Amino acid sequence: MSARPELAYRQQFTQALLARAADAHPANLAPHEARRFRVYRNNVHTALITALADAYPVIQRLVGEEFFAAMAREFFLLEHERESTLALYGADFADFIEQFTPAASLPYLADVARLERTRLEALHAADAAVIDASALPTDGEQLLNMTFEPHPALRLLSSAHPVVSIWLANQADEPQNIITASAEFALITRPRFVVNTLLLDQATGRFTRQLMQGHTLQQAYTNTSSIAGEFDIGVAFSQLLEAGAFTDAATYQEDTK
Amino acid sequence: MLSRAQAADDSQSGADDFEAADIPADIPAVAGTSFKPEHAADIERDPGEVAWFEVHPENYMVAGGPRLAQLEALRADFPISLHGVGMSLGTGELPDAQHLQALRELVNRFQPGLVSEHLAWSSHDGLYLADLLPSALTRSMLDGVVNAIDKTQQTLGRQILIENPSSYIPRPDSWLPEIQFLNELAQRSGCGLLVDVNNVFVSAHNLKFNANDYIDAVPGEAVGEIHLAGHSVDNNDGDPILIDSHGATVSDEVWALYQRLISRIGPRPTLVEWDNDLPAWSELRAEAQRANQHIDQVIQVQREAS
Repeated sequence: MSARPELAYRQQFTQALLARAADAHPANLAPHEARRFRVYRNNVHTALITALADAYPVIQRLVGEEFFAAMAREFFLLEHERESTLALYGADFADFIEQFTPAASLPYLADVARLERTRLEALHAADAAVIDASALPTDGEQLLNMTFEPHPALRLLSSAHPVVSIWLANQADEPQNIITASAEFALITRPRFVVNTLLLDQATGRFTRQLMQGHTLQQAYTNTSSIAGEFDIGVAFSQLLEAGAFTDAATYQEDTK
Repeated sequence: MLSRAQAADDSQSGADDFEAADIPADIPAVAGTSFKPEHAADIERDPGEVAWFEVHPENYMVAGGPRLAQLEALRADFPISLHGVGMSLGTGELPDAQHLQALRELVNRFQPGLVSEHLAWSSHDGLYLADLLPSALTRSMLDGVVNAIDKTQQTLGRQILIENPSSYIPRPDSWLPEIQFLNELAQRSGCGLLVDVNNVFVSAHNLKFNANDYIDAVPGEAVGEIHLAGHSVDNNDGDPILIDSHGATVSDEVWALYQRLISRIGPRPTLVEWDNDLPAWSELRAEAQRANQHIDQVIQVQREAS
C-alpha cells in the first residue's frame, strides 16, 4: 500500500466528488451510505457553480442558467482551478470557454468572460489615491514630458469583439442596444470602491497602453498616431484622468535611462 | 453573577490596540450573527442586541477594495470573529503557508476577538472543493491535526477554536468518537472548541448517536464559542437525513440542546449562522435575541442558586 489510509480515504472521496456519474461514491460504502454521499457531491457542485455564476453574471445571462451550470461543472471537473478561496475563484474560466466546443457558436463569449474577470480583479486590487489633476503642470511642454503611474486597479482589455457594448447591454439597468460587431477597447478603473467600465476608441486604447508601459505623453502620442492616425490627445488624456487611471506623475529624466 | 448587560460592559473595558476605533477585540458571552454585506445598512441603522459579528476570512483575502473597507467600518463599531473555512486542518497535514500568511495579515489588521476553523478539509492536492468534508478520525490523524493546529497557533500568535463538523455518512467503528477526538485535540494542542449545536443535532440524527450524550461530554473549560443554525430535512428515498443548510431558523430541538449545554458550562459567545436564503436583518436579529433570552435564563438560574 503506497498511501496512508487517511490519505487514501481523502483521495477516494475527492475522486467520487469529481466523477461525472451523479451516483458516484467512494468504494466500501453500504448502499444506503452511498446514497448519502450525494449530499457532499451536491454541496461541492452547487458551491463551485455558484462561485462561478457570482464572478461571471453576464456569461450566465448570455448562455442561460442551465447551459452555464453545465459549462461551470465541466470547468471544475477538469480541475482547472487551484485557487484556495472563492473571492477570486475562476481565473482561467475564459481560457476554458475559448476551448469549450458547445459554446463555439458564441465567439465573443471568452472575451466577455475576460472582461468580467478583469472587473473582478480590479474590484479586489489594492487601494490607492488617484492623481490630483489640478496639481499637474499647466505648461503643455512640461506635461508632455511626464510619465504616469498606473492605479493598482487599472486594466486595459482589447478584443476583436464588441465586449464593452455586449457587457453594457446585459446590465439590468441598461437599455438593450443593437450591437454592431467591431473590435473594442475596455478601460477598467476603480478610483475608490466602484468599478468603472469604459469603452475607448482604438486610438485612445493604444495611447493608454503606451502610457501604462511607462512612455511619456509625447512618446505615447507619437507612437499611437503613427499607427492609428491623428487623434485629440487632450480629450484622450482627460478621459483617463477623469476615470482615475493614474496615481502619480513624474518628469521623464533622459539621463537616468 | 453578572447580568448579561454587565458582562458585555465589562468586556468593553479590556485594553486593545485596534487603531481605527476604541472598540475592544474581546467578544462578550452574548449573541452575535454572521455578517452579510446585504445587511450592512440595516445593521448600521439598528443592530438591536447583536453585540458582535463573524465573517469568513477567505472572503477578505484580497489586496483592497470595498469588501475590506466594509469590514473596517464594521470593526470600528463591533468586535469581530474570523471563522475560517479554507485551511483544511482536517487533512492532518500542515496548512498551506500562503493561506496561513494571508490569515495572519487579517488577524493583525482586524484584531478579531476569536479565530476559529473546522475539523474538516476543503482542498485536495491543491484543488479547492468549497465544502467542509469529513476527516478519518484515527489516532494518526489526531497526531497530524495537533501538529497543524500547533503550526497555526504559532504563526498567528494566538489560540484558535476548532468546530465539530456536520456529518452524513456513518463512520467505521475503528475511528475515535468525534467528541473524544476533539477533547484530546484541545488538551494536546491547547486549542479551544467551537461547539456547533446544530451540527451535533444533524450528525446525531444522521449517524444515529445520542445528541444529549455528546453535549454532556463536551469539555466545558475548552469551549470558546457556540454556533446555532437552521437545518433542512432531505427525504433521501425514504432514508431521511438532516442537512446543515444554514438557511432557516434554529429548530426547537437545537434550542433545547443549546439550553442543556449552557446550563452546564455557562454562557459563551453564541453565533446565529445564516448563509443561504438570507432573511431580512430583523429576522436574523430576532434569532440572536432568542439566544440572549436563553443566556439570561441561565444567568437567572445561576443567580438564584448562588
